[in-house]
Amino acid sequence: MVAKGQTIVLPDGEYIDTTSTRQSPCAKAAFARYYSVAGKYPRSSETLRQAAQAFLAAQHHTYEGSGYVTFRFIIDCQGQRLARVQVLQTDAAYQRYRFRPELVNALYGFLKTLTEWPAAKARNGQPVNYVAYLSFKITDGKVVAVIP
Amino acid sequence: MGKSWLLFLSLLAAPAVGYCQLAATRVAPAAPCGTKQYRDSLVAKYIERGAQRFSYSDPRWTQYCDSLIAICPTIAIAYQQKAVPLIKDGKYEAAFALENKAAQLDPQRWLAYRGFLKCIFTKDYEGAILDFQGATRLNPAGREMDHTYPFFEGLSHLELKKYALAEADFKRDMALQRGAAGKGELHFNTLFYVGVLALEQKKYGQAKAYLQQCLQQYSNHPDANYYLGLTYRQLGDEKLASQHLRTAGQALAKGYLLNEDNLYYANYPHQITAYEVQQAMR
Repeated sequence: MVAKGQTIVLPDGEYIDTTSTRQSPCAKAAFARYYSVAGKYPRSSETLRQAAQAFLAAQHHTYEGSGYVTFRFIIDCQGQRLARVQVLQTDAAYQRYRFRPELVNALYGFLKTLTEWPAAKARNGQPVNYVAYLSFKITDGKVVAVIP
Repeated sequence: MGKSWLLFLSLLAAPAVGYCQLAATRVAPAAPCGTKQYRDSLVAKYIERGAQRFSYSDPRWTQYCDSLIAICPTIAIAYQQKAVPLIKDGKYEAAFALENKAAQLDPQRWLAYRGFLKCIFTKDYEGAILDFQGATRLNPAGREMDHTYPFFEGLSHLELKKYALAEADFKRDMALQRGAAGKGELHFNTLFYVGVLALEQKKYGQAKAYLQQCLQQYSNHPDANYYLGLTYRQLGDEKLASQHLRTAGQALAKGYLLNEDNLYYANYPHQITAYEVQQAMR
């Protein structure tokens, strides 16, 4: 059973889950983007697609819609995903779209199972936080690709 | 009048790029930007010596692009460059609105690029095929990111499991690479993907031959070693299968990759990680 996400709409976009941050030894670490610190999740896109689709199937719910659901979030310098997560949704033609919340919540539930994000370091060896994302390409309610 | 507008905008752009967004909203798109020489000078100033001095995540990247759009809204590269950080951040709605504009203004240059983004970044294979077909009509021998247009059509058809179409695409890709004299060397990733296609079609002899050719050019290609390992397994040769899977794992551990420019941003089709290698060796 997937816990329902808490949706929060802020001026710069829609977020899911809490926006609070905890005391962290990474609070003073610099920020980077995933691509400058080899921060992609250490699984192939196909492995992630199969796992995501299996996770959806296990919810015993019929999903619908086609397009992209993207979660953007921060991985802290210890490899922990922070709870503040931006949600972006488009249809298959990249136009703004809203999937039913059951699907978004289920995909977010899957995201929460991914616990092996790499901890990153800058070129000078200092630990860094980084901004990462995971997109789910959905066709008729099924996960057909996971990006990046 | 036109020159004084440009002088005004230049003053805004150079020392205080933070105000360029403001300029973008106020300037009517009537400033002259007709001659190629003048347009090229704007691109040099606002893109090459402007945005590109900063990282994608620096707000000045976007501000320089916005300034160029404000001065001349018909320069396609301004939209394409503005989209670069967006696509790499998964912001598809904003990114593709800009990519569409760039492709509309200069399809000769940017239609194939949009197809590349759809193929590699958003896994929108049907959309990628349409873009590359359109780009081929404009420029039959065109290249994008070091590859022919049929290469990306082949990748897209491979991922859509339309294998006969993928085969035809890769044949065109190889013919273009070999050239009229038939002597051009094939890109190792063409050989890799043709090998993967053969493996998917259960043509194990062909898969082995193409993947071996790929490895002759790039012996530490981790993905080619991995799929050659799977091929040997299908052929019943577990010793060679293990050997190539082990080589794949070692190559990844040493930092070898499939070797394409955009690997840091997006996984290529059929690209593997150390996890898949470990699973295959169990």
